[in-house]
Amino acid sequence: MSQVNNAIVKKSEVESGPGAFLRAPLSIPASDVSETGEAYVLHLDMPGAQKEAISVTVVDGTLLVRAPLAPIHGEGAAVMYREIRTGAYERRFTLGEGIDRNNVDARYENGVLTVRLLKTEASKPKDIVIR
Amino acid sequence: MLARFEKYQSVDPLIGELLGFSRDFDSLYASSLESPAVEDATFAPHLDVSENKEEVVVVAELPGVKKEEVKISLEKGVLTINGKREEDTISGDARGLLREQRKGKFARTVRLPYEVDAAKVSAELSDGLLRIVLPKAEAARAHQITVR
Repeated sequence: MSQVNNAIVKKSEVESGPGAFLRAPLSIPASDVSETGEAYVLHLDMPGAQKEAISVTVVDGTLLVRAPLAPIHGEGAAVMYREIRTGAYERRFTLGEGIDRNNVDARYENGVLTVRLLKTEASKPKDIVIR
Repeated sequence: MLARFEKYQSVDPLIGELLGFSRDFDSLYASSLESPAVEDATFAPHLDVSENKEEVVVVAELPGVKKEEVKISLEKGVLTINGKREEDTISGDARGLLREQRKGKFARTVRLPYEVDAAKVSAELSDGLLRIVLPKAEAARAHQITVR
């Protein structure tokens, strides 16, 4: 039991401290987010992800995007220079009020994931007619 | 801005690492100053270089870039990847809330560690990853020595 605890302590030591984010197994996709009257649109850079393996979920007011990354180099290849992250993509976005959770559309093309979140009818901007 | 910064070979390795560059980027950027494509670029895509017995493989991250927008050239043992990523994701009456994606002209050069057979180089762009396979020239291949 104490051995297990020690292992956990060691692991957390490794994953904290200066520069820890560089060693983290998760890659945070660079994103563009924009808003129109009808929807929020998110574009996430996720090169190398496989469409079938990407998960987009809405839980408790959070949009969670995840995708595992397959190895880039073939077996037996010696990597001489590495800048591309390995492991998995993960990013969370906190959703505001007025998003229709049943109306989320996601598309993956050229390594970019596009998520469209429609606003609920009540939160759309409305023109008031002056009588 | 980053593209310009990467060209200075005297950047402290620690700062380089914090900015996401590898420690030994000096040698790979050695030729950058000579390239007009790099001079003109607004960002440098991240890349990996690996090798096996027969070939050198360069993989670059190019999300949102179309095949037609990428140019690859090979000259004097230096591989140059350059092109443009369209800046059209936030359009019309939309209000931008977050802008992190790198857009515009990009360029990157790699000094290849081996002599390669330029006529047999192949490249493929799929799911935002550009994979360039460069077969090693006959002279650069490891010779198997049989012990008699």
